[in-house]
Amino acid sequence: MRRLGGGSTAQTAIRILFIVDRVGDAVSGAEEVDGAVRVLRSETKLQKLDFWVRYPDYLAFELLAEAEAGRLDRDWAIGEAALLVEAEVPELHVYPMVRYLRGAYERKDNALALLKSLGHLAIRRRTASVLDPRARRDFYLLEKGAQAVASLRAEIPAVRWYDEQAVRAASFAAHLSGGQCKDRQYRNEVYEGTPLGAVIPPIRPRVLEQLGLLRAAMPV
Amino acid sequence: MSGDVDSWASWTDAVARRGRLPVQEAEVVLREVGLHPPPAAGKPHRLRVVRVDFAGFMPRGGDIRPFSFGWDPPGTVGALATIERNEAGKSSVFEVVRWALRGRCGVQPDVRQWIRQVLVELDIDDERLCVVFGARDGEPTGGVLRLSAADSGLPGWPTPTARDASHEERPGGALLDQAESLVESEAALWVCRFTGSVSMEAVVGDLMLDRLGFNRLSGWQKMPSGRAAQQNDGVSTTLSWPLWSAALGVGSLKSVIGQEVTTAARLLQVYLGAPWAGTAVDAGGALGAAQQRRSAARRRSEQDATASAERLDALREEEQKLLGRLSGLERSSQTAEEVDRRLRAMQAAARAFAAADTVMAEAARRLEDSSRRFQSAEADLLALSEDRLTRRFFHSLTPTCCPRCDARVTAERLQREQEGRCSLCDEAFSLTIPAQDTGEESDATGAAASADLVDDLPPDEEETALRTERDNLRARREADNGAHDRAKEVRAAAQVALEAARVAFEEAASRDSHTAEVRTTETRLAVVRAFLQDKTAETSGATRIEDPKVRVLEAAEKEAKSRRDADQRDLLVQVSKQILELGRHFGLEQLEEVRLDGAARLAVTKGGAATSYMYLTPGEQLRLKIATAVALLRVGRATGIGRHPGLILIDSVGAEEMAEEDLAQMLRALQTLAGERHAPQILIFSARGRDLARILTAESLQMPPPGERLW
Repeated sequence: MRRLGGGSTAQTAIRILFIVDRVGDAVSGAEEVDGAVRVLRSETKLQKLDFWVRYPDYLAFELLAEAEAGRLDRDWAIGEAALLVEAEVPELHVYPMVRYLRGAYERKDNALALLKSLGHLAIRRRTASVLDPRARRDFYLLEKGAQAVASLRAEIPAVRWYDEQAVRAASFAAHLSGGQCKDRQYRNEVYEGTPLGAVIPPIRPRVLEQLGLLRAAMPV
Repeated sequence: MSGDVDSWASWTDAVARRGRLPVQEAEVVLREVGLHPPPAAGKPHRLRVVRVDFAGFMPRGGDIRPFSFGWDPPGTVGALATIERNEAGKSSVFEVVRWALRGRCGVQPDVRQWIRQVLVELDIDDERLCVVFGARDGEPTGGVLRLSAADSGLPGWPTPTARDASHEERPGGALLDQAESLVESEAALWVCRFTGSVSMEAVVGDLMLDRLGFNRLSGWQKMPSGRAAQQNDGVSTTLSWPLWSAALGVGSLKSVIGQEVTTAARLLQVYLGAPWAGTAVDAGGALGAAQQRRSAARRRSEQDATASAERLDALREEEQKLLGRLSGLERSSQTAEEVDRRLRAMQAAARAFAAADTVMAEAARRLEDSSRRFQSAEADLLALSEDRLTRRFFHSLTPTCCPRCDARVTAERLQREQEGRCSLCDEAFSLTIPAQDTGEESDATGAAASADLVDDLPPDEEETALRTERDNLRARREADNGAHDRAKEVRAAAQVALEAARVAFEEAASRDSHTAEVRTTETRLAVVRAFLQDKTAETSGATRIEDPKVRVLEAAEKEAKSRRDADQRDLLVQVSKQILELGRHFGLEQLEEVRLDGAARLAVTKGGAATSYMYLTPGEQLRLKIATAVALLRVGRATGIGRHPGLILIDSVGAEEMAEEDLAQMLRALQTLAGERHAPQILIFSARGRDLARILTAESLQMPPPGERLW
């Protein structure tokens, strides 16, 4: 199936662009990367956000949880979540991911290489020791990259869905760390219970239920 | 048990053969799930009790008096005995030792209230550990210390141990203060601490499992014993430390190994060190999980009208109940014939309804399945088009730097693309971009390729195939939708017909209250029977959702179990020989043959007659149980893979009924054992002090004066 593996390199690359653009932080003066406009800190965060972009039902789950906790506007969150699980369209954009030791994960090296070679992205490792394999990788969106994002938005309506997904994810995940995103995903039993190496299954029926409950609880 | 058998290659081959599957497929699944051949288990560990010491306050003669007890058992055979006095406190000593080793308190309630501090010194290999705690009504607070300097076998804790001055002080306070001062002077180190019985059980359990080498075995889980274990061969598969450490005790004689018949087989596997036992457990667990997933998937795509096995059973049960009720009732003979006729008509209608119901459920399931597949095909087509669009987008851009080394792509390098060399990797390169990505062949001049004509392109092969598949699936979904609608109509009609038949039947019945009840019972019975008939036919035809992983795991479980049984068979023959020899040494001269099987049952031939452990006298059982423990220990050590740490505690229940000479012979035999390599430490708790004193030396035996308590 085409969609296991995240689609082609090019498809993965545009998702990365949208994610860094929408979820990343504006670059502060203290950064040492020329021409950078946004930064997404940590590969973990990139992996976990890609998961949410690709699984509308899990994304809806988070939106509803945020609404229940009062951290997101209820009307908006319920509206978005309804779109994600009640309509047919989102199902067409599901790109399944496999669960590994630290949750959903997929190598993005080719897409990152492509973006780097085109001057859209710069990648920096934040570490004291060059040999530390667990150093955090930060992803900087450069000027050229920001232009590419704008072009994508203007020229290819077909990929708008992924941009919108990134916006939805940003509504609650922008200020979270990679580890916090990972923990949230683990709180879901179906996700956590997925055996190593297996594809993470959908949870649409459960989210539909949750949506129903939340709607019923709305003060009229 | 050769090394070759334990290799990955041999394991995957065997599993593939057994499941009749290709080897690569089997290997992929086994590695994915982590089902590996058993790792080398490491050497067995030795556990010795070096000192037992406890104290507290108890009511005596209207007063509250302090009491204390201390014992330094020898490293080989040691006994704690009283003379002609039961209830002298020896069972409590036994229980206190077990409390410290297991992390769980089995002391009698009244004694538990009196004990306020416990110290048990242990040697685990060359490490000296002290389990130290204060206790209030059985709730412990303390921990496990490591003593830095202690001679093997001799107590290292300062003597005497500190004690509370009065019963109003914090229980065990003095002892714990003594512990802290040892830590401060660097004579000791806290290895772990606990507060409360739950914490102690977990902490001590973890420590023992780790120090005694269980953590490296597969199939072991640190689970609180309250949690139910999975069924596998009808025997618990997960063992917690408290359960396993029961194997150290020879108390109850119900089972020849351990305390309960139900856990005996699993304990046997660990005694013998059959390495594949752990793998069999892991395989069973993985298989169970895979089967659960498969049936969850199956359930999801069925409507609730499809009966499961429980529903079938419930229906059958109900049928029996209704029949019973009917037979107790009378029927009015006048309307009997008419009622019968209409009843039969109603039964026929009920059967028709049940059949229509099943057909509809199946149609619904098929519809959901084809809907899902169609949607997936749509999504794949969409992915293909997005792929093309994004690919073309990137192709139209020029590279600025090498993704590997950051070198910038200069204008000259870019120029080289005109000459057919890639600006990044210098390979032969043509600016001809695949037709799908641009819409036409291009001999472009370095600038972006011309505008897209994707939509006007004749579709390439992949796209054609996907479209065709999608269209086929759409057609199938339409067909299934139609079939489902029709099935719904048929079912609705059948339901109407059933209602009509039911009404007719009820009309025919008389108003007599008896008959009314007969009527309702018969109605319900007819419906139940119709469903039963239909469901039993249907379940056998249920479609299987095949999960290839399940087949591999089933084969893996069978293979692991067969290897485990093969290992055990060899070992059990050796063990049985040893039991026979030891049993005779212990005085059972009439023993001719002994056979221990994998389920921990002991078949015995004595005096020419075949019998079994269950039917022997308590005295004989005690001796055979000890013989079995020692035999297993010996064989385990000789093969190097047994896990028993070489400590046996005997709360000698049956010894009370043994003839004196028999007891003496057993003790002498145990003492001889003590001289061997790998000898276990055997601690005996008995009321037959006089008899023990004749055989055991003074150092081995601790006794109070005649007629007195131990503490």
